[in-house]
Amino acid sequence: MIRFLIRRLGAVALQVVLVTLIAYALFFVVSAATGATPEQRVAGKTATPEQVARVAEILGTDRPVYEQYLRFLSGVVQGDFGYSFAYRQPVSNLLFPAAGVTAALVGLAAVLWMVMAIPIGLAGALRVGSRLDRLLTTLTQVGISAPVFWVAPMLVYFLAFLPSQGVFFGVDAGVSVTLFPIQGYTEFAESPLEWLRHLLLPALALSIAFAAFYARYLRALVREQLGQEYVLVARAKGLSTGGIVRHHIGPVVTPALIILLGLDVGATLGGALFVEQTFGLPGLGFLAVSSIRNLDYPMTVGAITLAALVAVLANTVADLAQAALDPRVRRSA
Amino acid sequence: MNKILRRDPGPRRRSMRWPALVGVIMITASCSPAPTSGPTGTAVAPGSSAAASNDSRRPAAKGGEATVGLAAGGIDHLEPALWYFQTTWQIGYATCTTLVRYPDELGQAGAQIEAGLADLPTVSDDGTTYVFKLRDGIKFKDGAPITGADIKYTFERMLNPAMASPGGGFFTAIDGASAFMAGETDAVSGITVDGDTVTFKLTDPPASFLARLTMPFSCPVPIGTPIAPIEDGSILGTGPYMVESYTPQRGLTLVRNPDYAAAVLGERGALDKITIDTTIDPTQAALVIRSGQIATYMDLIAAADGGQALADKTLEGRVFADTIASVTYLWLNTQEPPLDNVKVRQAINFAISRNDIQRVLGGPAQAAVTDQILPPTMAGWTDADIYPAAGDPEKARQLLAESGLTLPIKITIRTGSDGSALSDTAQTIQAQLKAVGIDAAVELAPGSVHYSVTTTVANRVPSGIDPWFQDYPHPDNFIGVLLDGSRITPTNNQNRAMFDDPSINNRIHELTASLDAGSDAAWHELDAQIMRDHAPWAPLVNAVRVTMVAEGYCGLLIHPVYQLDLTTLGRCP
Repeated sequence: MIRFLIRRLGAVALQVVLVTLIAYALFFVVSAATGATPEQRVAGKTATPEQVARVAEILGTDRPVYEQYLRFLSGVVQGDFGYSFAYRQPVSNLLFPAAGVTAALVGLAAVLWMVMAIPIGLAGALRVGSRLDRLLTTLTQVGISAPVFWVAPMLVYFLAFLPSQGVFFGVDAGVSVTLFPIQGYTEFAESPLEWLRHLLLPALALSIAFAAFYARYLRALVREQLGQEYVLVARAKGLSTGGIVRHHIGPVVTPALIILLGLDVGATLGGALFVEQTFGLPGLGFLAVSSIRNLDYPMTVGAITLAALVAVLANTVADLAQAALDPRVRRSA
Repeated sequence: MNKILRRDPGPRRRSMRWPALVGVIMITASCSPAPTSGPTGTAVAPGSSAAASNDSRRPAAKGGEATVGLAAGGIDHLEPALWYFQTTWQIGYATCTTLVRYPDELGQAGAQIEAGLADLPTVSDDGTTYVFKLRDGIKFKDGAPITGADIKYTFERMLNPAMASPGGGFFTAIDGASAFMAGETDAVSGITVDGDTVTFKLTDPPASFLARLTMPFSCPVPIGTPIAPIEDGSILGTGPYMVESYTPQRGLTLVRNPDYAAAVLGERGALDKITIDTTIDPTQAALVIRSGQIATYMDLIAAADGGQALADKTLEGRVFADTIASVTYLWLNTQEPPLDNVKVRQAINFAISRNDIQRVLGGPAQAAVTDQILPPTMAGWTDADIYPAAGDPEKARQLLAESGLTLPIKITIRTGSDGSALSDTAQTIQAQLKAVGIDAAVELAPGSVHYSVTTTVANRVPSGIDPWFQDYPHPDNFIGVLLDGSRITPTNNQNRAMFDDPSINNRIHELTASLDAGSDAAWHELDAQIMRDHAPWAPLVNAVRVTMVAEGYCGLLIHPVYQLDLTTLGRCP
């Protein structure tokens, strides 16, 4: 297990170095090819070439590329992501709060999609071919097909805006209620309830497609296990269906779900931009995109590095959890 | 270029992320009725009336609180030497008082410079010396009086090379400023102080110097303020409001400045507290305003929402359309064949149907057509009517025939790809030019890349489409910056048309230095002359801003220079 852990952490370090190297290299290639430099952007439209050069000196962009990269990398090791060209303050001042928002969004979304997917997937698997199964299958197909860029504005309109106008699901109640804020974010420490109110709709928007996919995946996994001999034996021994699922099928399918969850949570951290934008959440996605536009590569590379770190770590945690649950994985490692 | 929308400004004052914004904003076509728009820069939605009881532009009551919205990233800096977004300048206008300022008035009245921290200056006959006398009783927010030495320090801090302020370039006319910015001297020799008297000695006197002094880059800071960016808003404190708290990417809170010298500077500020929520996306802003969760939006709301709101009778009196001091234009490189041929440039101006471009951008509620360099918000503006808004393809063909060139003529149009407003415009022009025998290839690039490529002279880019937003309300900020041949620089070159006509350059220099009251008319004559005789551009549209106000809020004024004037927003009486 320790060897497994060391190998995984070594891979994490290597991946982070590669990701940051590529991100840095891309910036310098674009810069060299187009002349679009951060110092020019910072210096402003009225700056003379001499003033632009002086800004480059202040920002450190006049240094050789490898020197800039190594300085960044040594900073990351010490938890210092550098200094933002655009915002003129330490990257970590903006990066970590934004990462916290994205992590909260994705974390809540993951909880929601698992909470939705498990009962739906199990119900379908245990009643294959029934009306309930057909209904749930249809619903999950709709869920998978509904793109987030449609789901998110619909949730905003029907669950946040219309109630504020006194309309609930098409019925004019004449009473205006703010069920959910349309935009914005509140820190958990400030008000846990408001935090939840601000995050619930975005997390729901993010989770629907995942919930549908996980439900179908779980249905297939459980259905496959239901035909196995160990299940027949358990039934013959008189175990209830619930008992069989809990004690026999559950431990078999859980590692597969955990692996998938680790991959999806990691991937979603980088893909929550649209939801963040629609609901006005000041997360990592928005920060990264605005930094790219500003040629603010310390901030961009910082955001990429952090996202890569979290994604890789999420996968590692999933791998470790799988190894802990499944002795075959430990043995193969 | 001004702050407003966020069109990509390149390294300079961007109205925040224009690419993202204007893009989103201007693209969606709306079929809403046109607002009545005039040269004053204001327009009112059809059916609304300034006197109507539900008109949110009636004066606000004193007191109360409000939350206004802004997109994440809408605040670039709270450090006055660095801020450059139009939206942060709105905050600057509420938290700072500069040496001279603009009154909180609509239209041209709002663009007339008045006394600020100092009385209007005494100016020497040759325009090279400006003497300001600070007014008595004006303090920083900690109660310390503002002295002449503070003013000198404010400028030297902003011009200090360590600050890398984008505002520095606006003040190089001050004697010794360039040497100081280059790190060659320890002080700016052209700024001298004698008690409460501050004197600016200029080497190259621009008549727009006073207008430049109104830019929030010169928001005063006390002597001893560190020469390093201070981004928490704590050094802002000479306006009616001060920053109580600021959380980057989340928002900030403004409260009344107890040391604001209202008796001297005039009563400003209706609300007691303004919370700026910087998590409101422009695409959702209209819904959030209608739901009452925010009072208004500091930036541009999505184009489709703006058009819809103007047509919505239930919002009557709460939606306004205002022409913005900006111009979006097709620049034509006058030194590169075939665009070095004036007949070709004039033909392009005739071939373009500006009406079609306006339709593509969302109709009159989003853009006003123009064939002039100066926007209609500029003092003394008159419609020169040089090129027909609907285009005249026949005339264009005739001019092309006179040019002596063989058709089809091939050109390339470059523009930014952030948001689709510019690319849609380019494609519309491409089709219009094709009809008269000009094959235009459209090349798109992200805003920052487009800026660098097109402002580097060695790239010899034939033509491109860009927006330009006013920094300060003076024709010099358009014609001087964008078309003065003597200002062509190898990089960061704003004269992308490479227009360099000695007689026009001389006239620009004369007018730039002229303090005559009648120079407004002369600038407009020059505008018409350049466009008619030389056509280095095809001006296309002036942007229009649609502003919504939530029910129960009044007084909001869209200022001709700063746009949304936070100090005027309040509760309805």
